[in-house]
Order: sequence, then C-alpha cells, then structure tokens
Amino acid sequence: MKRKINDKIIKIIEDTFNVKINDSYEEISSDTIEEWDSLGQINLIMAIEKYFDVKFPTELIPLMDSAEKIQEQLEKMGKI
Amino acid sequence: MRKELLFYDRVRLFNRNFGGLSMKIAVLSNVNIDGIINKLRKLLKDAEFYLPPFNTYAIEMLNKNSELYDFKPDSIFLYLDGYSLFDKYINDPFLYKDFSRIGSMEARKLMDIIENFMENMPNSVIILNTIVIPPKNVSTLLEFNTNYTPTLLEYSFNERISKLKIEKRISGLAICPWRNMVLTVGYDNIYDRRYWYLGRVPLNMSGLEMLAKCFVKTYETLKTKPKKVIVLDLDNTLWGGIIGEDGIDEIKLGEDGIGKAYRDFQKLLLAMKHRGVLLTIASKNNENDVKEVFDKHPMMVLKWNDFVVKKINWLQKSENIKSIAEELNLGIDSFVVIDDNPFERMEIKSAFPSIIAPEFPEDPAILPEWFIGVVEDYFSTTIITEEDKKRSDIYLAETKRKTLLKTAQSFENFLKQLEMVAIITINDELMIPRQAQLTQRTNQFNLTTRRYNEKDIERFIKDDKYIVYNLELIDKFGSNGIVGLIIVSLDDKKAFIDTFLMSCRIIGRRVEDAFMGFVLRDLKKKGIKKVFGEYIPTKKNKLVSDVYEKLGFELIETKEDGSKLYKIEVDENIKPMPEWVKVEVRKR
Repeated sequence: MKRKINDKIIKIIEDTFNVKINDSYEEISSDTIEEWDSLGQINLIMAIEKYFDVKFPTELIPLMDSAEKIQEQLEKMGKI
Repeated sequence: MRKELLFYDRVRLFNRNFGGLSMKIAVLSNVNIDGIINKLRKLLKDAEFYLPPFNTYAIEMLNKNSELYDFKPDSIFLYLDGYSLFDKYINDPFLYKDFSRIGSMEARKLMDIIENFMENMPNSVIILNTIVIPPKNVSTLLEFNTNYTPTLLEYSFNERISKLKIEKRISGLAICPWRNMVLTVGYDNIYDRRYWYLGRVPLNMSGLEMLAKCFVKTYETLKTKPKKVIVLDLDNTLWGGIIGEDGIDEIKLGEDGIGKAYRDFQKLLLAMKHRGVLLTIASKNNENDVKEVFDKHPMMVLKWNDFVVKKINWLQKSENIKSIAEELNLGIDSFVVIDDNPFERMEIKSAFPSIIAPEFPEDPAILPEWFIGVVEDYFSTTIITEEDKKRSDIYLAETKRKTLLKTAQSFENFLKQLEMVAIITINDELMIPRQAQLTQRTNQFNLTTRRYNEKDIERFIKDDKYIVYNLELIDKFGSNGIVGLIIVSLDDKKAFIDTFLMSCRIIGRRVEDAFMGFVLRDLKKKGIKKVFGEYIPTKKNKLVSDVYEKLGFELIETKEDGSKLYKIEVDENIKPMPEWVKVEVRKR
C-alpha cells in the first residue's frame, strides 16, 4: 500500500491545478495530473514554499514532481 | 521537464469549470507570471482569462489576427518586469551613459504599441504597472555619484509613461502603483532568483499575490464610482476630547503631542476637499461651543466654510444625515461617515444599510494613516478634472442660492437677483477633460446623448469643420462651474448641432436661452444661414423633448424612433437675448 499524503500538500496541489483529488493514497504526480507541466511545477513549489515557510535549493525544485517526493523533502527538512 | 503543455491547452485548462463568465481579461507580460491566474481567479470570480506565452505581448497587441484580438478582452493586465526590460544595461552599465534617455525611449516604444492597440480596440482597458528594477546592481556606489546610474532607467521609464498617458489623453490606460507596493513590502521579499532561473518567473507566490491585488484594485477602481461626501463627527474625531465638557483650552489639537495627529488628520481632510470631496458635519453638540472652536482655536486646520453642510444639534445622527443628503441632492450610497462612536455608527448603519461607516482607530496616532486607507478603499479614482477641484465651493454657493430662492417673491425675481453671467469660450482646450466628462455623465438635459472621450473632443476642437462652445455660469454666489456644451458641425452655409447639453445643476434657470442665443448669433457672424438641431429620445431626456420649439426652432421631421429634426433660419427667427443672463465671451 502506498503512503498517505499530507492533507495540506493535497490541498495545495488541488488549488494550484484546479483539480479534485479523491484519494490521498493514490499516485499524485506530473504523470497523473494534466496541468502539472514544467511551469505548473514552479507554481506548485512556490505555493508549497509559501505555506510551509521553506526555500528549496534551486536544483531540487524540478525534481519534486510527485506528491510523495514533496512530502519526503519536507520531512527531511523537518517541516512535517 | 518531460512535459510542456501547448499554449492553447493551457488557455483551455485555465478556463475549465468556470461557467457564466462575464468579463474577459488578458494577462500579458515580458516574463512568466502564469501563476498569477490562480490568484486573479480568487479575486475576480466571474472572469475568463487569456494568457499567451511570455514576451509575445508586443506581437499580440500589434497583430490584428492574433489570439488576443480573437479573445476580445475587456481588460488587459500588462506586467512589465523592469529587470527583463533593461537587463543588458543593468548588467553592464559601463557601456552606456544616458540612462534617463534609454528609459524614456523604451517607454515611448511601449506607448506606441498601446496607442495602436487602443485605436483598434477602443473599448478595452489596459492596466500597466509602474516598473521596478533590482535595487542592487554592479554599479554600486557609482550610482548617483556618476552617470553610471541604471536606477534612472526605472525613474525615467515610469515618468515618461505617465507623461505620455496624460499628454495623449489615453483614458483607456490606467497605471497601477506596483513600484510603491514593492517599496512597502521590500524587493527581496517578493522577487526570487531561483524561479527566474528555472522558468523566467521573477516573483514568488507572495509577489504574484500582491501583483494580482495591484491589478484588480486598479481594475475595480475603474469600474466603480468613488464616494462623494464625508460626514464627520467632531469630538474625539476632529480633535481629542469633548468640547462640551473639556472646553476650548483642553481639547487636544495642536503641534505638540497627540494633538498633532488630529491636526494632520484635518490636513488630509482639507486635501480631500481640494480634490473635490464634499465635507459635512453631523455632531451631537451645542452649535455655539463648536462655533467657538472654529472661530477661536488657533490650531484648527479646517474652517467653517470648508464644510458644505453642518448639522450640529441633538437629533439622531441618521436624521441629520438624511437632511444632509437632501440638501446636497446626493444619494446616501455616496456617503462615508467618520465617527469614533460605535453606537452612532450602528444607529446610522441600521437606518441606511448602504452607507459606509468604517471602524475608527483606537489609537489617534494612526488616524492619518488609517484615513489614507479609507481614501484608498472608497475614494480611489484615476481621473480628476479642474471642475472636481472646485466642487466644494460650487455646492456651498448652491446652498446659498436655495436660501435666496426661498426668500425671493417669484421665480423671475430669483433669476434676476442671481445676477447670472454666462462665460462662453470657444474651442477651449483647457476644458477638454470636463467636456468629455459632461458628455459621459449628462442624461437629462442632453438632446442627443452622444458620449465622447477626451480624444474625440480634442479632434472636434482641432477640426475646422467643428466648433465647440463651452459655458461656465457665474452668479453672485460664485461659479456654478462648467455647465454647458454645444458642439456644432459646419457644412458650407449650414450648421448642424451635434451635441447640446446642460448640467442638471442649473436646469430650470433658463440659461439655455442665452447659450443657444449666443451660438446662433455667432454662427450667423460666420456666414451660416441655416442651423439644424436634433432631439434623440432616451429613457432620461424627456425633459428636453420640446427645447428646440421653445428656442424658436421649427420642427421639420419626426422619425419612427421618435427622434425629431429641427431647423432655424438664423436671419429672421432668433429670439432676443434673455435679460436675466449677461453673456461674456472669453478668448483663450
């Protein structure tokens, strides 16, 4: 079974891409959400940074292209 | 990244799930601010958005076959990023010298694009930001000590845009105060280089939010009418303390201590009067106590006559506000009440739910700053005419006229006692803004209801085939302001009255006899034999359906839609000039 994704992360993804995510265990990534392209990536990470009050190193930003990867990174930085 | 949406997909996705959209907004920029759409959508719930790829704004605006023209925007939000616009000068300033000139030239180029677009799409409104460049650059201390001052790019660009907008009368362009907003929060808090390098996105999320607010606030200002009247309480509002209890020597008002906050607040209120907002008083007090403060307190900034209506008594505030509205003949929805007492505010609001009565600050020290916020929220506008600035005096005179009307034995007598003088100027460029405003706002005494902007009026004035007559009415109480406009087009020996209107302020004083009488005589002097007039009925101008008959014109045709055509031979039929108005022509 997949890991449960933090509610706040889901909420921000929903807001950024104007979509509805029904199941917090499902695969949420740039592959499954149509609007999540390279610019979408920036918009999403901006919103994540603002909410969790973090600044990711620039080279990491394009790599965090799924909800799980974002969650891992935030955990690593002690933000969730 | 693996995936890159095509740009029309992006547009489609932006607008998905949003039915019943009423306004169309295009967001253009020289950088990537695609994330702003989410923010804008929260602020403008029923808008449809269009956002082309970045840095295509010039092509989109110039090419009539572009998607932008297809989209037919009601408004364009154009964000220009100062760094992107001028990066080569900022990054190596030592190859250049005259940064003011470079900034001005760039502004001129942009204005050409904007003007061109405005001609093609005159009903669109463009909102443009004042630009900001990074506060730090490689010139460091050479800035302002030498010519190598790239910061001048920002100053000169913003200045030139503003000057060109004013000079060329581009009323469809509004500037939003982005630079000042950035100064308030700090450049480094909203501009973020990481996103810039990743995707040419200059701003972080807070920055995009702020930019969205900057645009939307300006947009809404253009769509809403500013308030017109401030109703002021006195005790603990215009001064600290209560005059009836503390006495004139004890109230707080002066240059020292907290008394200065009240004095500064009064200065801002006076500034509002100078801008054309009407000041009034509604206070529970003995009028004599209050008069004493106005007459004798040396630190009062506001004078008795700065207020057009004063209600100082022990009646309920809502009663007083009602009579202020009646005396000024203005709707209560154009009132803002400033009163420190929450119970009074509640009483007023329960009587008039549409009235604005903002919460008053606890600490008088923030009074001036708080008031600027009130101005921003309720009195914002992007237009001001010379006429607006005189409005307060005009209303004050009007209350005196009303008193005279009550005491005069007859209306004819009243007209004579007013000692009216009609000042007429011809093709008067100084009056263009007011004349445009009159065509936009006048509904009742308006024979043709043709709406013109400043550019249109300017064209009439410069064209030999047109004459624009401007009427200012003065009487013994002062000026009534610019209250009449006649635009005539000429065709050999014939003249056609394109526009004939009078402000509702002076309806009933029969000044039109003098105004038209003058115009007919002037046309005769210019060799005109026949003058044609036209009445086009609307829902609001029934009042003037027979004005031309009264002025001696002859009806020659009534069309199916009810509009009527009139003619007068200027040799024979001109009525004598009325005796209650003196006419003076002034040359500009």
